[in-house]
Amino acid sequence: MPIQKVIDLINGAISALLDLVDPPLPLCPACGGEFTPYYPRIHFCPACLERIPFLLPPVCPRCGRPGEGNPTAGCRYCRKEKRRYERVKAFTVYGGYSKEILQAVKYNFRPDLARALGSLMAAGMENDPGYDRVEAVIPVPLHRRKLVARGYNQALLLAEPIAAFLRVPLLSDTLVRRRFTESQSGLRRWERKKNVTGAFQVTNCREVAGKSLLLVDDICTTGYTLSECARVLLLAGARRVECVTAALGAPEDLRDEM
Amino acid sequence: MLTRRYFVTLRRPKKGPPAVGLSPEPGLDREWIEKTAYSGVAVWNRPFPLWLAEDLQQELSRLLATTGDFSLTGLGRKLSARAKYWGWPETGRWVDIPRREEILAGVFHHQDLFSRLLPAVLPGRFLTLREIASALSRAGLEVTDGVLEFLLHMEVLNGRVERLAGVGLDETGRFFCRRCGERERIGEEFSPEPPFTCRVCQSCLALGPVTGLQPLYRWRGSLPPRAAGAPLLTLPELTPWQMATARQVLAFWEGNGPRVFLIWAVCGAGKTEVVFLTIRRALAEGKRVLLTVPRREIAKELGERVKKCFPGLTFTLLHGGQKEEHPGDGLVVATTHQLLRFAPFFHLVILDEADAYPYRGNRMLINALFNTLLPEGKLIYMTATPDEEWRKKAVRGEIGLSRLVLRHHGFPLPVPALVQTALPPEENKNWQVPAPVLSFLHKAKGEKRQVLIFLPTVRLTEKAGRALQDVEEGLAVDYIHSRDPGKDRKLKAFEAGRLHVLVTTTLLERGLTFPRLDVLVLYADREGIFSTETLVQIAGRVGRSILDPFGEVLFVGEKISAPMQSARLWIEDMNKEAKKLGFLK
Repeated sequence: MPIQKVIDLINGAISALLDLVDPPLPLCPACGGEFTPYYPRIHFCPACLERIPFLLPPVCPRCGRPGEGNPTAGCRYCRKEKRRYERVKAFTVYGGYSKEILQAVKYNFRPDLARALGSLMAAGMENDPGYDRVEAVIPVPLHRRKLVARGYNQALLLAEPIAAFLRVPLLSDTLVRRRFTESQSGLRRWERKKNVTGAFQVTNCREVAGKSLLLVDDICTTGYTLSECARVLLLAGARRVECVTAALGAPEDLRDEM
Repeated sequence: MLTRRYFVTLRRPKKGPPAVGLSPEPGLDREWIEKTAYSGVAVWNRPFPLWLAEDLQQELSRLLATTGDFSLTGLGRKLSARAKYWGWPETGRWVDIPRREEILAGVFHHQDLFSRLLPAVLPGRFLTLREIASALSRAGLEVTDGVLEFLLHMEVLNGRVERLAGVGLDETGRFFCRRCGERERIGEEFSPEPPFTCRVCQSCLALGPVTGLQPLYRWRGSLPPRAAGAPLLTLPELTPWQMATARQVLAFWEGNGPRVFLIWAVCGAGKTEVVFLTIRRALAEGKRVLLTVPRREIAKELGERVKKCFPGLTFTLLHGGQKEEHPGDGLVVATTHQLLRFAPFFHLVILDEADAYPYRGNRMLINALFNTLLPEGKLIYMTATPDEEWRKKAVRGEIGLSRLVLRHHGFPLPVPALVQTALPPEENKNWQVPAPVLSFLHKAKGEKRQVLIFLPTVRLTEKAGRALQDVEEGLAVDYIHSRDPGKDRKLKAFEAGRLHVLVTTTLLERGLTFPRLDVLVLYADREGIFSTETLVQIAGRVGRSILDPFGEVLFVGEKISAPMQSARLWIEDMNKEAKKLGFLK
């Protein structure tokens, strides 16, 4: 039907031109609805943003948990803990809508949602001068077996927009997971620590030597994974390691308190 | 977890009208058409929830089939109008899709193993994504739900698998559950996406939720053949009258007569052993057999019996809370609720205890049972107390019938005695034990026999149980009902003989065997609970063992009700007929 094809072509051209004048509204990756984007870097619609439980100050500058804290001594939760990283900043509380989004990212093959969440984190870091001295961004790696089951590394997708915003290199292959570890969820506190110890390895020490690094992960619960990554990176010669995570989970023993 | 939404796609062949499809990720369709006869694929750039996408697909397909050609714009206008009708006012347009390497890498990495494992997992089943994922992980493939959905979508494109919304729209625009067929009890629940509602079937919620947003999958390709081979069968020696019935059932299986057969056997006749011969014949012919019962406890016991009688045969045992699956074998033992997860698959379906709760009168389970049967399949009911309807059908010759009127030990059924006496009203705070009950218990205790006392309600069970516990020293009494958390423990104690008397509701009316048992039914004139069938079943608990073929059954009521009379008549009729056979001892 050649006439039909011509008509379709003309219609396509007209709609393409109209899109230049009046571009179609983007879709929110979480709810799928149309929305008017007021902030260019935020990919969520206002309704979804309202439902995400953001972690609001005051938070501890060391462990990121809610409550007053001291940058060196920590708060009452992290006073007794020894962690290798400088500090953690979490953006949301792991629960409610934030939990739904992160579970969809992990188990439902939603790389677009992970990127949107990463750009949300990047927008949140805009007003924090503490991140000016970061020299490279490193995502927490996945084991190869988990990578093929999931299809992508969600921490890498979170880190991509952050690295682009901070204008620093993204070192995705520098830190690798040497040993397959069980999922941390469902383990007790001491089991988690034992589970991740010795799981990571730095492949190229020269890339991290002397640098101030930013570790990116999706959830921080006890902080053992991040601490173990930081330990390996510091051994490889990094100057300082900071962490950002999309969500902060309450560990089992603090679940009632927090 | 956020649910996935589906895109409406138009696959354009080189000639002729386009084909309408659905896709969770159009990048996969784009990859797929490169190997096929299609020249391109257009995608509506607004995704929809599955039930709506399905409706849009049907609408567009209907348009294309009736009017032949439509321009893309015309189709788009129709689609927008239909979506708006269902409350989705967003406008969209047809777009081409780019290739997405990240998805393809994840999918193609597993595709070989997946397409090898799927024919062992999906044929004959009707499963949700989570159920497929758990079956695959048992078979050795671990993928996340998202990747699995894409793998299944590739199979949908290849035409091997069919995807349907769990709760979909029927021709009249009403929501109905595709798994159980429920139309009334479809609830609305909150969902994170607009329009913020999601239809969930409340009827089969116990087997995991089925919603309008999530798909159910079933196999569309040819069913994989089963290797024929006769399994080893070790049966206890069958009595002549059991052999006669077994021959009738075998003749039914091989003949071309009616497709439904009823085995009407007295309680304790050994009817399960009778069909094992037919099961063996069917398995030897390479056919698939389903053995099903309504209750979980009986299913477990049936599994044990199959394990004992077919040594070395691998079979699948399915009941709530536990699965032992061996894909590719011919025999499945399941509770009737599990049949909701099956598509037409079996050549022979055998329903034991066909009149038991919850199967009896349950439209959902009856549909599910017929749904497991292949078009050429045959159905055998086994029961001690068939419905009026079935008996009439058997008389008219619409279904085959075989009666097994004699127990395997050859002794007649104990005939119940009807007792009319005054009983304390249910509302009484201090429930007094009636004198006939006390004398009955004394007599039973003297003869070292156990007693089951049946009562109509849970409240009465508790009251009477407590009253009996206080009535005499040295008489161990306990009471159970379906809501009792310690019922397994008490049943074990009764089986071991640590309890003399067990007070119960109709919970124990069938399926269990105790040696040296007497039965007492109090308030037997409550017709709503103690119907004829129930009373016959209760009387059938007595005298099942060859060591003790006699026993006493007492129906106690304030009046002699019609079901009490007819239950007694029923049992006497059976005994008379057994006498005619000439084997009665």
